[in-house]
Amino acid sequence: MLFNSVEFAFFFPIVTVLFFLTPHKLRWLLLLMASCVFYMYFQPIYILVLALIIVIDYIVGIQIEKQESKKKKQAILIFSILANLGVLFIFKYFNFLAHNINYAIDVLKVEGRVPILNVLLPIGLSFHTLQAMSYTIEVSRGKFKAEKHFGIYALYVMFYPQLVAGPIERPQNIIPQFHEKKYFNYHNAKIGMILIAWGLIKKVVIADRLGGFVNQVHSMPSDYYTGIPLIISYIAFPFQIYCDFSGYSDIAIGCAKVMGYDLMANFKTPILQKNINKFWATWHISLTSWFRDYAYLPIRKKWFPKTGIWLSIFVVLVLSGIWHGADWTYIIWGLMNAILVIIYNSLKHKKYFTAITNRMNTWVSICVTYAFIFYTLIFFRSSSVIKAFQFSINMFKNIGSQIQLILKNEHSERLNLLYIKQSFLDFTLGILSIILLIYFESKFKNNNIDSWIFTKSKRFRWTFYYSLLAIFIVFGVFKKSEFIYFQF
Amino acid sequence: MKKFFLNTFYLIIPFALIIAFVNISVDPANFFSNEKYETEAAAIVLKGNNIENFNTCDERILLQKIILGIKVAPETIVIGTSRSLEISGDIIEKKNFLNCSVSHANLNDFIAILGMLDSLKKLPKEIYIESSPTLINPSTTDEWLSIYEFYEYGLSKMNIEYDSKVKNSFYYLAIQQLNAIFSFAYFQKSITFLKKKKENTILDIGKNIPKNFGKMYDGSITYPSSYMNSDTLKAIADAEVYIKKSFLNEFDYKYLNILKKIIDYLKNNNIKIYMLNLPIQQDCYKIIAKENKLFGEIKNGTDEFAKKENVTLLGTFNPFEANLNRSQFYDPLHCNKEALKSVLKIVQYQAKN
Repeated sequence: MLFNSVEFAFFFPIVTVLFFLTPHKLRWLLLLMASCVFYMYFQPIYILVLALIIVIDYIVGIQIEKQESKKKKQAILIFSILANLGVLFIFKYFNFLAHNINYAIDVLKVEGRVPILNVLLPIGLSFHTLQAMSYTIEVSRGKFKAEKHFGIYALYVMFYPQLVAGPIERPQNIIPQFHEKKYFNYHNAKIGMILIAWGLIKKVVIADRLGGFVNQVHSMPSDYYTGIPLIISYIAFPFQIYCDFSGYSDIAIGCAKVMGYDLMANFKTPILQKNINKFWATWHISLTSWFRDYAYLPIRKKWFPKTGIWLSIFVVLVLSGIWHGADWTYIIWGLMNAILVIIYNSLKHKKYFTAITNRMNTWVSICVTYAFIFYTLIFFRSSSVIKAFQFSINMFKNIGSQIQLILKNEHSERLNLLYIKQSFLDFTLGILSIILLIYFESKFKNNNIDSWIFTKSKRFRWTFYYSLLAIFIVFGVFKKSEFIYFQF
Repeated sequence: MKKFFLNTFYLIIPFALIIAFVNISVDPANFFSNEKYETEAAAIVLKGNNIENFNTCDERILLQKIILGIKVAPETIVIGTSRSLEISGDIIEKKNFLNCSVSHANLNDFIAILGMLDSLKKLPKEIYIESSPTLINPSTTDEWLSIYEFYEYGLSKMNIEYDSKVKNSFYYLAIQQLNAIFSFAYFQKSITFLKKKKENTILDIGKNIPKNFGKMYDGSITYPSSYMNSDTLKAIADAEVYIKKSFLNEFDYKYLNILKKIIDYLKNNNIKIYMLNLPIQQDCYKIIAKENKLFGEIKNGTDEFAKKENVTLLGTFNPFEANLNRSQFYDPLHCNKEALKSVLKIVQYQAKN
């Protein structure tokens, strides 16, 4: 079920009201059933994959805790990790690997082929695999006691607000909350609703409008567009993906908050950071911290105790790239970010570099930082590496002649080059929405809307709520549109 | 909790009321006109006049009112989707002609419309059936439910088995109206409609040719000349994405069998049948032909079907075969009258009889 669907507009209030009407002892059952309905709305059959992961990790958690020998604990953990990653590999990476091996076979003119599996990636598999793994790892480390209540454990993996696109939770944060008795709290409900509204605005008003421009450019053959349309797409896509994904996270956090559950923050105004380190510290926090805690730190501790931060960055960002998708474009995107962060960290203490950055205006620093980050996102969005490179080259072609054509003020030229076959209204609203987003995020100061709005007077708040609702209704794009991160 | 519900109520109710009021009072697609719009439009057409500023309405109900009102059965009809809605009597060179095509048509529409003509004793002597590739594809449209009674009649006449899934769609009209009352998209449409209210008022223009969106006395429609240049590029772009993603995903021979039963029924009623292939815009045709494996299968399937059923096959999907240019298309799937005229001259397969 999509958060931005009519179905969810009924589903959420019904489940929430039932939640508060249900006795505490049975709430896990209600939420689990609701989560099953929510998930099965996408691909019913794949709930079996989810059930398999849940059963394995539930048993593994208990077995790990029972073992006294560290070696046995580790052996069971390895089994669990292999099972989780095995499922992920089959659904997400097998065909990618098979295509690459087959390509190599063709090039080397060797006999044989790796079969291609006819499977679809279950929605959100990468998210709940990581979440399930964090549970068994924490239990094996002795930082969290194995959950004995199967229903509560299943809910930990399946809790519907964050089931398909995170935030990727940790057992310490969410499982104890499922055991706590939750009472209706007006303040929580208010915060939750504001987050939901803000998330919907980001998705329906901003991301989906900008998506029109970006999708148009990327749906065409790579030599179809040059210059200005590509530059517009280059600028629009980062805002689209930010609003799409952070919008989803806001709605997820908001839905949980209304019921009294606190999910971890996933974004802390990443679009206004002055350097790439800060950007990565505020972007998709639940994923980067997952890789830091469960991939980088153990690897570093065991095999590279003397290496510094560079390895950390490399491991986290390349893994992040691979996690996003089974394609070279994502791997290159991860690598490019790793290189950028490494370059920045190796330069940041040099005198000449600090001299330059200190002289820079904050907004200039932000623009320079994002010029690089936006560039890496061309690879993230493109359907192939070749297309991404062609995009990078074509972006600088014909700009002068295109400006002249636009200035001639001919409708067809503007429609093609500036509005990228969208309307003038779409173009104006797209620009306005980016400006307003930057304005509001600058007010949030590394937090989210909820911490900002409650510093305002009641009159301001109510005007703001009415305005948000009016903007949503009048300027929303009400086409069925999935969240970008569902594909991962 | 009471305070929360009360505040939510204060926040949402004014918007809900405004949306409902605007959607019902402006009603750009005539969901709430209680067939008043369709009755008014049918009255103009039945006088033999043309309509200027023809708006979105329930085309099936309008067709029903027209068929009910005509005194003599049409000699020739065309039945199909919006792609064939522009076909007029002068293109086919027939005088007693009625265009019975409806937007988003599927085979259920064909059954219902033919059932309607049959039950009202107005079956034609000659029929042109559009064989759009989407027709022999599982359809998601259910607009035909507004003429459901004729669908049932058609099923019994054509000896086609009742699709049990259909039973769930009985509340179609009520749900459609309920959706429209609170739909944000319909609200946006209403506001746009309101801004151009003058251009949207239905007019009886006698025998004059409509300059705006129009409905002709023979059931065909007209587009304004500006339509061509305004959003064509956008529509092409949208459709290219659509075509790549979801156009012709499935080819189910079940639909070809239903079409066969319709053809058999028409033959049994001594109606001369032509099948029509209408062209796809050049850029889109290239994409479909190259990237959609099913398209070739459907195209060949249609050709084979026409031969097997001994039905004359006219026209082509291929715009290059018909020497059309890009300016003759409104969007990826709809060509203009001029293009239709030249396409209908192409005979792909000539039936023996």
